[in-house]
Amino acid sequence: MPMEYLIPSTKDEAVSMLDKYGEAAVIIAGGVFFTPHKEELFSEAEVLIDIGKLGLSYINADEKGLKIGATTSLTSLMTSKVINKGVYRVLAETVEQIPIQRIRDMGTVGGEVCMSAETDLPISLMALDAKVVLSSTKSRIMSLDEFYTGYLSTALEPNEMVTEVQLPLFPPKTGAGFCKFERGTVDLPIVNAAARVTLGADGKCSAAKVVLGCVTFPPVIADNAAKLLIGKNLDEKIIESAAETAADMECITDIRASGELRQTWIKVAVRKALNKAYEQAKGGK
Amino acid sequence: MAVAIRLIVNGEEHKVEVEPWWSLAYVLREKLALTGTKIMCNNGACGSCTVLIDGQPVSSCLKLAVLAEGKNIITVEGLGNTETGELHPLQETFIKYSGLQCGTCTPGMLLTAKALLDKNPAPTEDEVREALAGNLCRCGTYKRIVKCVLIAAETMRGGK
Repeated sequence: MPMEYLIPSTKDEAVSMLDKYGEAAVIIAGGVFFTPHKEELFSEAEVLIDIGKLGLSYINADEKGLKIGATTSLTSLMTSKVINKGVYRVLAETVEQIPIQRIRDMGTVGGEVCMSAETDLPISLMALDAKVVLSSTKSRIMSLDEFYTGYLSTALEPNEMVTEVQLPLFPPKTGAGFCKFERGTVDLPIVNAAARVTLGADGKCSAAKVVLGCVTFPPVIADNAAKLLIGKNLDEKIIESAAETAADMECITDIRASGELRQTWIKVAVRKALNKAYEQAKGGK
Repeated sequence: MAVAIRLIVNGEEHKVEVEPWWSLAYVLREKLALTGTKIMCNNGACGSCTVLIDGQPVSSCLKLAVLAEGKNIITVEGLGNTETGELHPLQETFIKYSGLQCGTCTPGMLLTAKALLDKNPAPTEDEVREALAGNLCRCGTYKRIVKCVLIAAETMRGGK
């Protein structure tokens, strides 16, 4: 099928192209996901819209938090001074676990978010209560927690594109951690988990969030585990029981691992993520 | 619908008509007959298709050719001196110290190593390993490859 290649120079132009072509259009930034999956997932595509020239590569901090442009490369995210400070550092640590520099250079934040929740960055972004800006003729902002609807599926409408990821500010003494298990570096993870905790003046946990990826679809926000932590001193025992609570769920069995193995690894991943988050929160100002 | 793009490959300008979904690796091999760039996994995992775009190593199997429009590309064919045929010190070292077995990963290894040495002329062994982390050698000659890069770095710095 012939395919057209379009290079909009403004966001409005890109949005009107999307409006015109809808499902026939594929948005391209880095191309990491598109090229190898063209036959499998994009065989119906008629138009490629290259959003590389829309000026969406930025990381801006303001009084409300952080705004990250959709075409910001994973390398820029990993090396950004703003990201490597405080609780946001978990994002740099998550990207660091992609061991291939070329993928980090080409891959974009918007791409990771849109590709699916089965990668790592969305899980860490969810732990940080990220929101996505979905641009169309009528733009909307959606919590990333609601954005993922199932396996390789999101709430993105055919005439919408992700243009920005927004992160809120967090109180002092907040930390976040990420941990994953995978078969190989180029495969999807078997289990990934991210956690965020805030400590109150008394040193006890005042807020917590635990997110699990790849264990079922869409990702799971383990509220039961988070609730267990609130108002407690985060010692080894309480972290262990939160990890066990998080693992108490039905997991998928697929070519990568059985549901039982996933349950075992959720425990380890949540424990490690929580420990990292706690360590960071303790050291935080 | 084919798109006309301009690629500067190894210093030479090419005008090519490409389909929007063609990878740079495909265009280099099939349209410009530069078959030194190898396509192995075709999903960015193995690094054998690595070329340098504006000095940065890139998996050319993932990179859409249209996204490389107007860029300066170096493939393994352009690594040495294209006029005199003189090899790059990295190539010399790989030959002298057998930094390869079957040779399929070699173009990618050489270009990734070149990008490293251009930025860091005196890398440590760990830095070499880190830089080559995305390049797989199916014969398992990593030890010799790393050694070759370290020796080539020394040669390029004016050592023995």
